[in-house]
Amino acid sequence: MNTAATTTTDEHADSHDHEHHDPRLAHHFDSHQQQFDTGKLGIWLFLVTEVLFFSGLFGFYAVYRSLHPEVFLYASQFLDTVLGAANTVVLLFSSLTMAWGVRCAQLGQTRGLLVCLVTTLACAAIFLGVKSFEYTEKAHHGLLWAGMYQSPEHHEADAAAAPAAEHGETAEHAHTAAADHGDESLFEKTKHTLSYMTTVLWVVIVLAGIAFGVFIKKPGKMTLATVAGCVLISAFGMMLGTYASIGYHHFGHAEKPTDEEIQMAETVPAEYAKQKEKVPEPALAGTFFSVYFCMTGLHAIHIIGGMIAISWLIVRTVHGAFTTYYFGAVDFVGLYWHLVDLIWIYLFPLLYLIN
Amino acid sequence: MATVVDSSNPKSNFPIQYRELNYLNCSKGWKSWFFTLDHKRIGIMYLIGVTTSFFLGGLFAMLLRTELLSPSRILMGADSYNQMFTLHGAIMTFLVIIPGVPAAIGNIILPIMLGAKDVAFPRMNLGSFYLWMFGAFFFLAAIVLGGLDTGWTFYTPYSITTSTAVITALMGVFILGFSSIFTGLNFIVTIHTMRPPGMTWFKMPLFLWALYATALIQILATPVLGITGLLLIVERAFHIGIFDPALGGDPVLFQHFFWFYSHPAVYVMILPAMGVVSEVIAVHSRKHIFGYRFIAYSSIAIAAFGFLVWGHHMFVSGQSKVVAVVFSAITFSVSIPSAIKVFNWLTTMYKGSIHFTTAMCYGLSFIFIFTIGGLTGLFLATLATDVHLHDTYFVVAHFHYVMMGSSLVGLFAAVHHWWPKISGRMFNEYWGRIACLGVFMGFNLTFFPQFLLGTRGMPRRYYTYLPEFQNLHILSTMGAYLLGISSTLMVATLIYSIYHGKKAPANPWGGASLEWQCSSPPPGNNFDHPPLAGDPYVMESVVYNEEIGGYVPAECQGDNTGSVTASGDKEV
Amino acid sequence: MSDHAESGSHAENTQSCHVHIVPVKVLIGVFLVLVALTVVTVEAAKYDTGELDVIVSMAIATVKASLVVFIFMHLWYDKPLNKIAFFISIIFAAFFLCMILLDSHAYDAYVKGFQQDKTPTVAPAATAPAPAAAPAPAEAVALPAKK
Repeated sequence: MNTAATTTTDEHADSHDHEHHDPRLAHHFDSHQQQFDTGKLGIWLFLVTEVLFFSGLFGFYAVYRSLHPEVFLYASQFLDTVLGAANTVVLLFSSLTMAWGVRCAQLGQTRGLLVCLVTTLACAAIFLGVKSFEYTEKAHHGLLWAGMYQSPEHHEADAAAAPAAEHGETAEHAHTAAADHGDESLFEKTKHTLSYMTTVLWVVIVLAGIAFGVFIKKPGKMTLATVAGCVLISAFGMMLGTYASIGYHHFGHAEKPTDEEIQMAETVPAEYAKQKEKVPEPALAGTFFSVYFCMTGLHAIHIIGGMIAISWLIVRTVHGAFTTYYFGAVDFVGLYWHLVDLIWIYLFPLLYLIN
Repeated sequence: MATVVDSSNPKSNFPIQYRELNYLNCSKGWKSWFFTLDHKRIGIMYLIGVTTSFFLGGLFAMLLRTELLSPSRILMGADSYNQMFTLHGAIMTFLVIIPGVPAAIGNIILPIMLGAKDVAFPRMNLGSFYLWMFGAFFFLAAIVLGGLDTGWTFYTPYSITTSTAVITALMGVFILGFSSIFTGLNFIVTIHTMRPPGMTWFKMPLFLWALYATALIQILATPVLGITGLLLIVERAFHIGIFDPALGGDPVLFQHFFWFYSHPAVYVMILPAMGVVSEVIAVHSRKHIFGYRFIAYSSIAIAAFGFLVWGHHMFVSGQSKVVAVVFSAITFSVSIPSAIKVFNWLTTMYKGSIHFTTAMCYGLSFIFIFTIGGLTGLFLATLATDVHLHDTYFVVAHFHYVMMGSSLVGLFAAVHHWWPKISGRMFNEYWGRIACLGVFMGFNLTFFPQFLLGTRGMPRRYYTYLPEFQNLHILSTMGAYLLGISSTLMVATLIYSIYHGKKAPANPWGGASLEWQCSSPPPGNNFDHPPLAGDPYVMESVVYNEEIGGYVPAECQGDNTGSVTASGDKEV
Repeated sequence: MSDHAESGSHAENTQSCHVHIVPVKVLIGVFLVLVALTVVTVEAAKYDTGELDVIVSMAIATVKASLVVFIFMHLWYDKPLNKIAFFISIIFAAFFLCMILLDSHAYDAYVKGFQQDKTPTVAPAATAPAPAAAPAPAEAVALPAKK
């Protein structure tokens, strides 16, 4: 690759100069080793703050689960374990490619690094795609946080009251259901917000792309093309994730639907419709979804942050910024990415696997 | 001894006292300040921001005290009074005291003390300053958008139901929290990886130990404040039912979340001030610090204990009895490391040759005020007494003795101690000492009557009171005015010195730590060659030189023939 | 390490950076173990083991997390300081969780008692988005008084 060749010539040019003219070494460090160790300690301390940041949410979870176990037992049935497990594997795979990417960076394999980073970015996007489908589905059924929560029992009663409703016009059902509570506009707004989540994510990523263009020192054609490529990969990954989960959802839940079930499926979650004998809904069922949205939402924000960081790495890799003695940035973003994975490793059983 | 020797005059052995080209004038234009990566310039910007916020918060305090001159309405009604004390508390806590010593003074002094060229992550340092600006902007926005009347603690459920700009203020707190985290992270990494040759952990100046302990708290506690603020924002905006009892939430849980940060944050405020006093007392007593290791360890011990005592803010909040007893017991043990420090400072002064410079006067005020503030804390840590004193003026007086009387006086001591290094100018000692006396008298006059008021049952956060409290309230208000005037005088003296003060020598007080080895003010990169560090408290290593008006290394004193204000690199 | 020595043979003094490099086989092996453990935890959740459920799933999650931390994040080969930093964060988070759990369980009885006295049907009210001013602030005030 051309960039690799440029890198080596740079190195030779540098070796004639004074050590402080090395553009990869900040002026206040003596050696690359010191610069790397400093950055490494810095990123680990940052991860410390991240762990404590999330500890607040884990505290939220622990307190409410230990005080109201029945709520968690009841409400977690509405989460799709298969989608959750699939997302776990996607994220684990992205962790693998990230770790592999760090290895490539350490060995100076620019092309391998690029492939690994792009794969990681795509996996992150697929994860978000699946997540946005899950959010939309929850919102569709009114399974929102405590203040917005709408009981499936309520939907059922609603469906029974209006049996003539046509298929596909679910919005109307939600509409009537919400109207009963007098907070129709707020409910609708929330639903729309979540439904268009993907759009918002795209906007964020496009904006980040523009920011790259502005902040990179020499915004050349290659930079812009790389940024555009990152945006495309993200968008494509998210669409892949979303459509895959939609496909799975239809395949998994609508295999042999009876008329009654089809009618029910439009208004109540499939899990609820399948229940043989209806478990009575415990009080405060919405609290589970508060926990769910807070934890996965904050995690998703971290994923987006990671995607931006990985795109930045891709741009720098294309420019041949990383060498065998200067790969700190890859390592540090990698550590951050593994931590995001780590948090998901705990979130998955805590939220999806309650029996 | 690797001191920077005057390069323009080869005959001179003196270190360079003053350079024509230093960090203040090495580049010009607003961009060279606003986009600077130089830790000293960032520190100066912090100092200006903190001072501005201090006067804004102080203005609110003056208005509050004026209102309390009489039980009837003077300036404002109950609602405006609530907003006023909330903003006073929030601004003073989040914008002044927390960034005061670490971010402003620490930023300027820490790398120089380490003989380093900069902090480990200069860009993050600048980012931290802009986060501070951004957070301050949100606070101002909260004032404009309907004020804030929850108290700086944002207790639920009131903070969920009030119509004031809680979300805006919380955004400010969230952002300021990250500013604080980044500063702390930078300091820990810098101290770990950039110490100069010869500076082992136990040869670090105690100010660095204090900043290190502070940074540990900032790293470990502030993220919890971040998530608490975020959850409260989400609770208020979307009603997730975590803190809101109407949705099955738990308001006491909020207090746990909040105080898990905010109690350690009290030590973020006091620990750096203690570090400053350790420096000031030793340098101005011309004596080696007594009990170095004990002071160093006690900083870490205070940081560690600080995490274990947050429940003492919640003795009457419905917290369980077992937990309350545990928290009470641990709270008592915090007094041990604090007392160790006070005893060591006193012993350091014993048989020292004490110079009553302005910085030393502030240092002595600190010891006096902190002792009262610390001991009254024990009354509040006692479970039974606390039930009586909770939410009275006794609490107000106690935490002002610690937060204002100790932390801010520590900041004042730091500013005066390092002012020659920061600005390159000597301020007027006479007016400096007058201002110090005024601050000391005014402070005690303001808050000592409040101890009396509190024990007699005057509740805090009330804009009116029973007539029998009026005399003490008038005393307190008079003290507040004196305090306000004196702090203005202090700032005026310092600003005057920038334009009319005489040029400062490299080492005006005779400190032995590394920051006194570079010229005043330091050049852009602090040290041309990494200095060799020795024991930072061997005051005999420097001797006073009449000609320079400051101290020079003992080995240079023999043949002093060189010019004293050598010009810098530019003319060479 | 030997990999690194080869590729960095022409590096100068300041231009060298010694780190541990994880072999590809180890990386892929760890990934496969992680996927296997995910399958195990999903399967294990299908059996109702009562109280043990949480413990089993958390134990598996911790094994997975350790693999990620020690191998993918190189913490096993890292400096002791970084290890200490990370484990301190875990200890503090655990301490925080323990304290709030301990305390919220201790006063839960008061809260339940209060809710039964005051508002027997607190649950359906959950759908009301704006907390009504009336019962909400009362609780915090009333709690200490009940003692």
